[in-house]
Amino acid sequence: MTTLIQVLVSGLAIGGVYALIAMSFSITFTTTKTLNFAQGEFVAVGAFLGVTMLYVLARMGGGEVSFASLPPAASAGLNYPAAALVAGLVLGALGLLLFAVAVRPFAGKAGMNWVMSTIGFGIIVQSLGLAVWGPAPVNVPSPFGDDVIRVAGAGIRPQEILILVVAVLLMLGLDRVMRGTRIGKAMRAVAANPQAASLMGINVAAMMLGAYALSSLLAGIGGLLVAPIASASLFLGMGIALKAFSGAIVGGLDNPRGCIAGGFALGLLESGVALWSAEWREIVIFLLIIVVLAVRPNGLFGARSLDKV
Amino acid sequence: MTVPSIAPFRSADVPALEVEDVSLAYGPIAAVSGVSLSVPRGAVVAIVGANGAGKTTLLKAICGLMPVASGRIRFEGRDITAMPAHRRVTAGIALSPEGRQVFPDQSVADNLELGAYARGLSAEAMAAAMEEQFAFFPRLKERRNQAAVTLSGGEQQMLAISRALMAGPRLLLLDEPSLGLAPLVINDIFRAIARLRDGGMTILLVEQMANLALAIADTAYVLETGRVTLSGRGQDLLRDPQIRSAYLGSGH
Repeated sequence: MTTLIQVLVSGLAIGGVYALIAMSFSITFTTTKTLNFAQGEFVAVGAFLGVTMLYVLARMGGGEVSFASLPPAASAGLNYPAAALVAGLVLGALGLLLFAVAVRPFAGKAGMNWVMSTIGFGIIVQSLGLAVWGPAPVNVPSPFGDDVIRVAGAGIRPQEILILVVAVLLMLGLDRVMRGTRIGKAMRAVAANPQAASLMGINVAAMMLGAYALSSLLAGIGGLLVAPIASASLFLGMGIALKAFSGAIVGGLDNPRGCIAGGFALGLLESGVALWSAEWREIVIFLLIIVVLAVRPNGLFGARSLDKV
Repeated sequence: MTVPSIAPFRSADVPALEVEDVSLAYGPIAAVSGVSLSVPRGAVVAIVGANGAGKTTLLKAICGLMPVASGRIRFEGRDITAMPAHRRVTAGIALSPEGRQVFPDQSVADNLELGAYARGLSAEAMAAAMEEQFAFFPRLKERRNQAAVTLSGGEQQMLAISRALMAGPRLLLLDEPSLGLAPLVINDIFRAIARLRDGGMTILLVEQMANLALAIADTAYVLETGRVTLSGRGQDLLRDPQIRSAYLGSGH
């Protein structure tokens, strides 16, 4: 029982991050048929921008603080939400830049130049980040403290609950926007048929730009969410983005709800297998992904064939 | 069905649409060569011709989905040749595209709402505009909350036309409204087009079913391999022996 709760909570927490990033992949894929392969770097840069914001706020509050090991008070009060907001907004702007220079020139054309150009953009962003922040991991305090809470014997970190709550709220909110608002319906129209969408008077190019901004914003917030429970270095995003991408593929890249399910499934699986054997974790996960794709090439909830990219 | 808002008065003899010497190509392959045509206000103009004659390509150029290789397109006297597609909708041109192209996973009501996307209507005005379409095609009202993908072909065609009308156009482009539909359903659709004509709507109709199109049109153009080979009054073309043998043969 205790271990089950343990596995569930940590699986749902990391799964929440995977689901959030998986959805961010789906947002650009459905609207532009392209993916941001710099998403991992965006997650890491989002985390470091957030930490920098926490550091600045702590310095403004007075006293000497170390960037590499911020005191718990640095995340208290409104500091953490403010840092998340900044990370999200800056990353959203970075997404606009990425689309303009690395995606737009290649989107909708034959070939996969956008794969290389987004990877390249990510490497540039990561290198700039390394020049600013260095390669060492930093210690990021959770806004609700880092003391482990005991629930029926299982140890739960407050940040895990926070991740789950924020990720679920963000995803529910986005789902509402996509289905219930004018802009959301327009975005789904662009995803379904860009030409027909432009016949509605929808500015398709602007929608695609918006999709990249939104996707990158989610990466930024996801980065700061996961930083307190991860070893927060500039290399933090790579593994997360790969798992999130796997979750998106398993769930069906063209189905945002499927991506969310895939992300959570991957998180739970990862935390379940890790309980049994940490070394086997990645092996089991990726074997399962291969099996799922062999049986259902478009993912569990996907409709469209991926080779249409 | 009320008549949509009338264009700001310029001059009675300025046609709604003028296509001047327009050529279009897919890469090196010419699809339309030096086509000129004019759609007077309040008229129904038909473009007939065989599959692959360039009819749909021409409509794509008129609504901005395809750049012209040469020539000019004027809407109500204003040059729109370089205007992006989404702005032509705001300017007053709406297309019901070939193959319907409704948004499959969205409801009938949401499809209609998207049709009026560029107008920025208030909730009340949106509801009123939608009711107008429901009065025009009562079948759509019954299906309003169903996903468009669940509609029959005829219902999807009604939705595509209504969705275009939701934009409040002063020029309605209809691309192959009969495509893939049963004869009885085609009759329904053409009766609806006649009602729009009687309401004063300016319509450019592209149609393979020449007899139907010519019967409803004031004027018509025959397009063959990207060129206008014949034009005249719809009724006259309908009686033209050449047309009868080429387009109104046994298949129709």
